[in-house]
Amino acid sequence: MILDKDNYELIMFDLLEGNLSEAEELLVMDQIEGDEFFFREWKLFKATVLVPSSTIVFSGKASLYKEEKTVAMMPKRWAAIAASVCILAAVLISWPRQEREMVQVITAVAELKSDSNQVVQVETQKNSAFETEINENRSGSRGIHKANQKGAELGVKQVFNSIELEQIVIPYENMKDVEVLVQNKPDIIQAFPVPKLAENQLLVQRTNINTQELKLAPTRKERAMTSFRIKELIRLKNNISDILVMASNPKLNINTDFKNNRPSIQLELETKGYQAIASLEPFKNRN
Amino acid sequence: MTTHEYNTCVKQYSDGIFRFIVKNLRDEFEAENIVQNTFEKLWVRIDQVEMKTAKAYLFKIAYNNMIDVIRKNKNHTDLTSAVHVASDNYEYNNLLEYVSLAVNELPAKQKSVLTLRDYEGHDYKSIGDITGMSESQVKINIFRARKYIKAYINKLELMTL
Repeated sequence: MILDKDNYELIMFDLLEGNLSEAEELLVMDQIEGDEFFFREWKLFKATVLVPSSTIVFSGKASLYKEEKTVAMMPKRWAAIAASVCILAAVLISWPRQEREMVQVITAVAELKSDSNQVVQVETQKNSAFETEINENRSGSRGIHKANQKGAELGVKQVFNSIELEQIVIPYENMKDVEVLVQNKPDIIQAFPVPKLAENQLLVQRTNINTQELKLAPTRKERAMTSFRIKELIRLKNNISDILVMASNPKLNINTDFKNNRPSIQLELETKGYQAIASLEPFKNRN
Repeated sequence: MTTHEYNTCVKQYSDGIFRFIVKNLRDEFEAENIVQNTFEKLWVRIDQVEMKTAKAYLFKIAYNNMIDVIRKNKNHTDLTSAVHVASDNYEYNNLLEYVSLAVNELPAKQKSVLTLRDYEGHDYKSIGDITGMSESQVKINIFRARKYIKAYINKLELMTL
């Protein structure tokens, strides 16, 4: 690439625009620096590069900006606290069901095995949760209704025209036998004495109804809503009370050993249901 | 493009577009109108324009607006005789003043491609996209513009010696 009077403008233009390779640039620059005419022309070429003036600014910028929708960010500490509370609530809600709830399942199965004209309603006295399961043996259709006390009563009144109630109290510890009891109905019911209603006892109502007027239980959504409102809150309350019971009567023992080469402290915490031992060796070996 | 990205475009490109238009039209008032219109059009099509192509899109709209204004002015009066010399106030030494004078005498196409090249650092392809020219046409126009400015400066320097 040799510069001459005919091509120097094109080559200098390419040099200015950065269109040449590094080797070509070096070659051309050597020729430019070695020739006074080319050097002056190159200076003029370089002067053709426009320099934007920083003083020319658009003054109406503020009017162009649009409002951005911002989402308020929760501080990290509060986010962590909120997350912890959510996790704790989820753990408590999904805690394994207590024995009381198992009883309800057993009774629900039990009552279905009676004849088609009989339905047994089982109600736990302690938490007043109400669960009724209706089964029509002839058609095989089945409905489940869960509600609180008031809702269940209303539901029964609406569904059933004629209700005859027989009540019997079954001790809580005998609830495993409910299935047998109901199958053999009035005889078995009579076989159990009717004791005073205690806290852990269940009330069983034997009801004669007209099965022709039976209707299926409320929808799944209604059941879920009702069940969540009552049962989960009760379970939460029971779980907390259980945990508090387990954590009652705390005893703290502190054993120190400063005679050893490496002194240590042993902490023992014991409650009714929990035990924790921590051994600390905060000091370095004396040797 | 999000609202945030739109605002980023305003922040980054509004001055550059304004400079580009002022340099070509030498009319600050008209340049402000064009910048306003340009960003209004971007806002209307905010869902269709991506951030990475926003700069070229904005300059293209501004360039087309500017061409419309030049055509309109040509119908009424000679642009060079209706100079709003506001831009001349920004020049601050002899050499730049000579260059500025030379640029003012360039044909509109050459002036546009040269300002896009030097003010905003666009490559030949994007200048071609904005102005509707081919890359080789862009290169030729820039070459002619530089050659003209060089000759203009040379002439003025010789006169002042």
